[in-house]
Amino acid sequence: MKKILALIVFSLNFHADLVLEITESASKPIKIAILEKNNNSLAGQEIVEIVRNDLLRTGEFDVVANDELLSIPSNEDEVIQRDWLLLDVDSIVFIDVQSEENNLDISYSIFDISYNDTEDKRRVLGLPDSLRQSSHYVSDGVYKFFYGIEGISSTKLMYVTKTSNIHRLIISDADGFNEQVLLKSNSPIISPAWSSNAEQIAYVSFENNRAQVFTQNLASGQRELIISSKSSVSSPAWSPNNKQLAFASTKDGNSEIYVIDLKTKKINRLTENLAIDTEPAWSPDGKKIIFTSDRSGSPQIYEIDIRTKLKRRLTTTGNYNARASYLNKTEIILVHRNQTDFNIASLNLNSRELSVLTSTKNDESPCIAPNGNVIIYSTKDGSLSYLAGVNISSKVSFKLPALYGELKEPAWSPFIR
Amino acid sequence: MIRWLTALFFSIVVHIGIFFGYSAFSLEKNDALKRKITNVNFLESEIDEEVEPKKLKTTKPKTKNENIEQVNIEPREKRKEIENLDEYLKEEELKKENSYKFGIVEQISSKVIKDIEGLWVRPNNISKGMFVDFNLKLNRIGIIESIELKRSSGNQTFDRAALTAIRKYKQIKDIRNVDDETFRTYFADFTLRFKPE
Repeated sequence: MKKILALIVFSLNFHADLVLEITESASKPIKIAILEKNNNSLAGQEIVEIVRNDLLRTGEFDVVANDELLSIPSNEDEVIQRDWLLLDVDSIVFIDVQSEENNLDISYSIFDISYNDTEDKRRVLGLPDSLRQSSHYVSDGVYKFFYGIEGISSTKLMYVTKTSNIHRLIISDADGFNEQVLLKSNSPIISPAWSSNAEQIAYVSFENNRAQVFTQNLASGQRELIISSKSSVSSPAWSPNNKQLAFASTKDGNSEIYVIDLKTKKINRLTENLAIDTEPAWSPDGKKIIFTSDRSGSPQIYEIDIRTKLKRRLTTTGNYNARASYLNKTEIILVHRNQTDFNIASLNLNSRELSVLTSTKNDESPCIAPNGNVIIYSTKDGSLSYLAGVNISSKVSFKLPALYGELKEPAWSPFIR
Repeated sequence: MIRWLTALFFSIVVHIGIFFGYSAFSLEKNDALKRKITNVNFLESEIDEEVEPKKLKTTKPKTKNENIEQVNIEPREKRKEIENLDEYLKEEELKKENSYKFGIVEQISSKVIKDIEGLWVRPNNISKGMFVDFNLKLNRIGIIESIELKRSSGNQTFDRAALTAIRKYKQIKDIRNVDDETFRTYFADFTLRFKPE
């Protein structure tokens, strides 16, 4: 009843205070144009193109192409409001680039068409060789202005590729550019994970013929084996404060969940039963861990309180639920089998309502963007495995270009400042 | 003495009659004006305990005429009170007029809500219960002459997105078709609340 209502309050002079309540919003992207201000420098054109692609990739912006424009103003004073209203454009982003020898200075302003004035002005400063990254910061600033949450264009992705039996652990920008190979191996590499300050990573390597967890400092490249064991050690997960690492290991017989203090190397065993417990993930407050266990006869998600070791089962729908991680404190995402298809789904921890988010069929390894609004996962089409994603608010799905025969195990970095 | 008493008695009876007549008339008008409107139906006010919300909740979308019929349904007791046929017909006319007026208000309100929902792209940082109120003033042909932020949500992005939707709307064209009194009473000055579910 309250969905749409208009309340009329009677007053003595027969004037009614009409209140119209808007509860639903349009599920359409915001239409904008991105123009370089004043001159057409090569750097400026490149920045405009990077920002355009960043914003289009979100699925939450419709960026008008230059050949569709009725007029091309070179600054705010030249904007003819009528032309832009006809195109139904919300705002124009003007980008002004000053590129000097040792300095890249990008100013951008957001000109609101219906208001017919500039609403926001910002600057991004960088080094000349940081043009792509600086452009991503502009994209993130524009995204935040319209949607109120941080953009993710300036973040990084980590993933594993396999070509000709060579496994590579790679870090790239969120748009797939600037790939850097961190590790190259003839043996499989799985489960890469970022520390929450983006300074370190952890991953599982089979280079010694068994699963071992290594940590690696991204600046120095220094690697460290977290525990030396003849048993399997896998599924590393950094605690939110980066002081601990959760992992699964068969060191005491069957696979159990452990937490290691990275400074003291003290290990705390969390689970103890005959079932397989694996794939730990930390809650945002670092007090709980969710993990996959087959103790009920099929893989299901459980949550354990690290201090009290009290456990509870979270998933009850279906006979396969695995690889869970927290979307926020009341919601988790996981891989859910729906009949024969493996999909990414979200589970509300209060209502226990499970929602399938993807329409592809062989989805695995979901990871969440640091703004909590995009999920990326690996999926398969025949023998080709590639990365796909879904935007939670716009529901837009996307597919990243398949540059490799096999690309999987994505991990999204935290925000990089 | 008896004459005085008779005159006094008749005077009291006449005044009571006037009082009840006026009360019945004004209560009815109050009932009508306290109704909530959705985009398709009149719904009874939550705070009005005299009416049964259930009856009207289940009604299907109606046309103008169907609404008139619906409002005409009155409790039997109330009908019994009306003894004078002229009075009854007058009241019926008034009710029809009111229903017609509410039909128009409802139609325009629903269209405004639908149109603005089509223009509003809400941000992603919405918290539970968040809302923003804008006071709108229209001129007689429906052009939005002033938009005033009446109550901020405390979230700049949310307020801006709502304001952009209103600015894009610019004019409520159907306002031209309403009579002056309806315009003055409802649409000359009203509130738009953006409250995502």
